[in-house]
Amino acid sequence: MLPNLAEPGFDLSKPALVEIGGSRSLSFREIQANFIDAGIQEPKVALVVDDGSYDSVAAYLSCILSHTATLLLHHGSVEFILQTVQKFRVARVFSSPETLRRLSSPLGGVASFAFDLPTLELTIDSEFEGDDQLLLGTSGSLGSPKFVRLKKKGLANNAKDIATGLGMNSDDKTVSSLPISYSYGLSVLNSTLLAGGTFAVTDLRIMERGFLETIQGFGVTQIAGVPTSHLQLEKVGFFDSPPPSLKTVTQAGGKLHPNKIEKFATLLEQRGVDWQTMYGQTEASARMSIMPKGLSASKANSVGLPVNSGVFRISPRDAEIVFEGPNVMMGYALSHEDLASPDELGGVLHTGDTGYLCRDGFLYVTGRLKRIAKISGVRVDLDSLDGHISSSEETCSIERDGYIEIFSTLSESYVRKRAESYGILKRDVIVRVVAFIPRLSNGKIDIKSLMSGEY
Amino acid sequence: MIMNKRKYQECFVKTLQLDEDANLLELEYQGIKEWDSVGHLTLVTEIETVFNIELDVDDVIDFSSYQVGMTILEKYGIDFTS
Repeated sequence: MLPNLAEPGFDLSKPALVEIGGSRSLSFREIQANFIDAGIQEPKVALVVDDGSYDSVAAYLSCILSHTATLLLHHGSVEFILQTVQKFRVARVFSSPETLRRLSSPLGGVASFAFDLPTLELTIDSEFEGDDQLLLGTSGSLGSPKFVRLKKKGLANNAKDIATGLGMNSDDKTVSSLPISYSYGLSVLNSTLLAGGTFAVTDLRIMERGFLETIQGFGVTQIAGVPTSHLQLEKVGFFDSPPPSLKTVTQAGGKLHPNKIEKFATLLEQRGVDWQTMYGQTEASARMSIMPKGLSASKANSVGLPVNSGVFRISPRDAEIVFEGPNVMMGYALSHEDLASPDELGGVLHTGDTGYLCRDGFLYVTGRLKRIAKISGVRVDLDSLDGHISSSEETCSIERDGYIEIFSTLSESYVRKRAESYGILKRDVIVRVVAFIPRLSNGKIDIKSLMSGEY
Repeated sequence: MIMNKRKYQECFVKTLQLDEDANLLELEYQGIKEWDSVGHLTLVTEIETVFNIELDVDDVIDFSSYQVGMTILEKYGIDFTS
């Protein structure tokens, strides 16, 4: 995840990581000395809890540059972290002292430091030979822990493709506008470092006082956002007067209305800033396609061309988008045993999205095959949600217009409570109480009738 | 006047999906799960629509609680006194 540090002329004293509003930073030389040549004994499996702090990023770097199998998890409930530690036989946890203290009472272990970062060291017997994989959580804290198994090499390859596709270089400066435990957010960090640029960690969020001033003061060159981030940026006047240092704005993680893309891309273009839409999934390390510079406004419906090392094809059977590339995951992991599994996909990912390719190679995403909803960037497995609410006889959830619509024969207040306990925000749910769930003659749920309400 | 207060309350209840027994006067940005940055954008947009105003960027950012919000809206000529 680092550029060629031995390249003549590369300035090793340049900061790779800085903490905005704090005093800490790491130069490329320090990263090399602290993390690569540190000689610290590596655990077989480590867990980094990402709470958006500088420490989380530093902990991730220490792990990604070692041979430790690393789980990267967004900070959710302590119970969820605990479950993850146990299921994956984690030997070292990086987190805040507070979380570590709460973990240590059920787990035992020794509070310690590795790379100057607070850890909990656990004595775990493991036969597993730690190989070079990074495991990213798929669904925040919903349901039970499920991770995507990524090859560190594939991750680095993808980061390089992204840096190339976005025209990044060692002058680039990016900020933590998205969590690093989210594949898109992680790709910002990785591609910046690989390009030899500087990544800044800020705990300010877009709609907080000081965010715009802070990133402007830092000299940010690139901002990444999901659709809601960009709507927030619009609200705080970002597109009318972007920071003078800005070169590129990227968008992924869901569909932003083409009218908005056109508007933002055009506004930015007048200031010499590129808008680049991207498409990806955690299962592909991060990104599968990037819109080339200067085309976003005229191709607002497309997600661009495949990344350098990737190829798209469309399944003739059901129009599913299939991606092939070195950045495709090895499979999923639900427990420690899965870490030792071989590569189950062989570089070919069936995305579950449907779409088409234009003659010039541009990809258009039209829908989704799998019963996975994506609400505000969070993936929700609808089958698992239905099962959490009640039996499938009684409940069926769908995604429609950015909401999870739950059809159920049970009372609205009960369904709402269950959905909330699954971890879904109330505002993302619409409950429709129905007399029964309609079925087709083959026994499958008749989604069409259900959605239209006519049956 | 009392009408404005009700309309204002309704914006919170609707966009933040508050329960009937929610404590409005103590609501703060990031104080509840639903009032995160996404909820904030929805809330502010709803308030702008309901009161037919457009808030300055600074006011959008400063809108940090139920109470502070009322002070901000008063600047736009919205009267909450009853």
